[in-house]
Amino acid sequence: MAQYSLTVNQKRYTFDVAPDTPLLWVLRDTLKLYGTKYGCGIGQCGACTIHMDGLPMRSCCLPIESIQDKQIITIEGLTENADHPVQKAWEEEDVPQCGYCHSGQIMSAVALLDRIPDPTDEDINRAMKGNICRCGTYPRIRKAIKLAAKDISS
Amino acid sequence: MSLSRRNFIKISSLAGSGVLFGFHPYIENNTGFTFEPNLYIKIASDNTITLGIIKQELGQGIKTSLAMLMAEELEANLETIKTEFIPYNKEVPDYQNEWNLFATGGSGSIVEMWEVLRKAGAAVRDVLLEAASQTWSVSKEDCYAQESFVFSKRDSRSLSYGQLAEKASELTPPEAIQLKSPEDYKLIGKPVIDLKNKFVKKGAYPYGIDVNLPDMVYASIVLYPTKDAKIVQYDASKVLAIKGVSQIVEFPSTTGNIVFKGSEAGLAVIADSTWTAIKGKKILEDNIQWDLGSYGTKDTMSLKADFKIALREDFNQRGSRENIDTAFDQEVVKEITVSYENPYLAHGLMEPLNAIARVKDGKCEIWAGTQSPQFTSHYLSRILDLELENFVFHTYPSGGGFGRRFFVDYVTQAALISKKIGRTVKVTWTREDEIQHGRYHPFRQEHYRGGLDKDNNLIAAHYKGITTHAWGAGVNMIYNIPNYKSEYSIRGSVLHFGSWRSVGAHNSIFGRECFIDEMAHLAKKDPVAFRKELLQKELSEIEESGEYSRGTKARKTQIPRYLNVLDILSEKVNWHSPLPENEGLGVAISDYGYGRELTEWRSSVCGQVAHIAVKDGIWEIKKITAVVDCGTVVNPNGAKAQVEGSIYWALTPLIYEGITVKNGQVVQSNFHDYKVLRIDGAPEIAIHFMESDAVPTGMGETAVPPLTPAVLNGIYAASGIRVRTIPVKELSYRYA
Repeated sequence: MAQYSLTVNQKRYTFDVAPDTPLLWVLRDTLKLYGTKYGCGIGQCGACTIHMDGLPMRSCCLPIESIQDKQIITIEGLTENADHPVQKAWEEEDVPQCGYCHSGQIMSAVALLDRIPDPTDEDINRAMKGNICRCGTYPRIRKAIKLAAKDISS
Repeated sequence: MSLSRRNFIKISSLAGSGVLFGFHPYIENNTGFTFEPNLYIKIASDNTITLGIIKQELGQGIKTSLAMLMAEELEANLETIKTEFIPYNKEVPDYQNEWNLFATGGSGSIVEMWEVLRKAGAAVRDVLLEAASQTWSVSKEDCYAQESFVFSKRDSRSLSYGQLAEKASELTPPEAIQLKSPEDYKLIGKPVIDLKNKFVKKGAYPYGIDVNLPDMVYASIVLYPTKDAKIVQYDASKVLAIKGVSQIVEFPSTTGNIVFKGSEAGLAVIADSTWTAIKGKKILEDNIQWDLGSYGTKDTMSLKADFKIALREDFNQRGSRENIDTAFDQEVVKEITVSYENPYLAHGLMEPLNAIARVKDGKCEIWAGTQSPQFTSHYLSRILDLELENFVFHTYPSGGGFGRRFFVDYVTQAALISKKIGRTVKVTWTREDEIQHGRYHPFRQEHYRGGLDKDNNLIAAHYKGITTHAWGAGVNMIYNIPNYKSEYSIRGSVLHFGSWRSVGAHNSIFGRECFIDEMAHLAKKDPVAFRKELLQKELSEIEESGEYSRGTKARKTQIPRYLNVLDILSEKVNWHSPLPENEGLGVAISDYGYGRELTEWRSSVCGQVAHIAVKDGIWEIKKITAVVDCGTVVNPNGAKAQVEGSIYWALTPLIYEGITVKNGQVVQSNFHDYKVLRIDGAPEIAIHFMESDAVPTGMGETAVPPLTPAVLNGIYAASGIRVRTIPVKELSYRYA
């Protein structure tokens, strides 16, 4: 066990965990931020996607010892009122079915639009294929990203 | 107090804060029940309306569509409606029944709740109108309800349902309930956004895995690797040396001789966090020596060899018409013998299985997402030797169900571990556990011999199904084949069996619809026309016979719907218009779901056409078109989502390798080697619902079965390559 500090959603946290503890489990078990989901533990499904210094990362594969003093944003901290264009589009296009993977989907989509404000289908595929959805919401994810892109550009 | 059918609502005051209308789900069959309603509508003084529901949320958007059914008749504003998941406990009136309406599967939730929720909504609206009429001293006919308010027709007065709640709590329920005509629907049939999605989009929708109890410890488990494995020895020292690990406990296997029951034996690492427990589990796995038992020598190859033996042995006969051998010997001039095969398949539901159990002081409390909290509690009651009165099951939404969460294993393990350590425990399966200890879609082969007479009529077919699991064995042969024999053989399974979205229909429709397609091509007939001809022949034969058994009754209802779906489907895809070289269309039809009295023998019908291109060894889906007849569509948004999801669900095993077995164990372990469809592999889908105001017949699974045969028939149409085993290995899949 060792002491670590981390800024999550603009809030500074200090806690004791084993050095190899993945950020995912720090968020969920230590900080009780349950919006970030466990899906596979090996960075294959994207359910645990968060932003680290503005980049989308799989929190299940980030040992806490390797990310000291990083800025972390989770789904809970993305906006105050759930009104990011991506969040709005996600509801408007009625994207989620079971909803479990969508914290990760939304975090990946936000990062994509930060980088490419007007993505092509190919850009969307490249950015989103790391996020699995077993309910099959893929066509609605695509539509929602395009809707959010329109919203951002206007 | 016993209930009359008309008077199934009980009204109680919520002590100044509103009114509760309790009602019983079994409106048609309520003899013998005392009146303890387990469904309820609460109307609070602030005009919020709460609907208590007993169906489980698995991603089918059930709370939204159930709220719509109630709100339609209640004339309530959907925005103001909240839903609550009712826990299973002794307050549930028929808690002593093993199965009841808590069970959520078989695409049955809307079917089962369709009538009762609308009637409850109508009854409550009537009481509120009565309350207003008494308050204003006008006749009830001079009042009308709209958007959670009652208005006076005579003047501009209005009162909210919340304002009427107190008065309503003093009234008696109506004797007769009048339901709306479909043309008066305001909500049913209109697209509504899933009510939970405003929470999902901010990560605030709670699943079982997100439950945090102050007194809980965390467990990760190591399950026995084969059906009859034993532990030779294990070294716990390295695990116990991890800071935060408190102990390792063993838990026994529990058995059950029917579907859904039973749990493997295993060991649990108990720790102070999920990660510490998982770390301990991984180390423990490396330090156990197993005796793999009799299954340790079995693998996919031995399973296939066993199926070959099965083909030569006796089959269980399901049914036959006329003399199949004579027909093949004397009348058939052209014939084929073909077989179709699908592998074991895992679910890969996004939320890994998990449960919290507190088995203490003669009580059992569970927090989990399942498809049947009631069935699971009944099972645990026997396993733990604890009376049902002592159970409380807090139900949570699930991150995917797909049939897997009907099985009691993961909840049983949590209960056994909690009992053993005397503490509240949260058991979280890893993804590896989920892939390797699944309840698998059966490994199955469909063997057909089919023959045409000199005029190219399909006059004989012999079906032999071989499967690792009896459930769903056989095929529903809807086509008219004068000489038909159906047999199946059940072989021992290396892996545990399961229900996998659409269950046996996935395998049997794959075989049936590919076989019919092959016969159409052999007869040099158009695959749609060929199907229609055989369906029409079957229908006339049933009608001529005039005698209806259970099976023919359903068929008589279903065949006209099949024919309509085929017509609309052909029209939507321009079936007869020419396509570029290397492209083709493949068709398949299926039904799934209810098909009994409740739905007047209807079940949902889905036809699909796959537009396929094959070039340079690559197959591509240009488009999937689906036509669905599910009776009344309650929420088109949700119904479409189910079709999209079902199609992509069925597409995964066409592209990717299924589950294979080595040394009696599953080879694959996570999403890197048990691959599933991602966004770059998801083709365009067009969906059309048949106009209908018939009773709804379920949407969760009906679009799964036609996809496989439609695609394989399309590959044949595009390329002449006939694929009969999935995944498709003859060609590579083209990603976007």
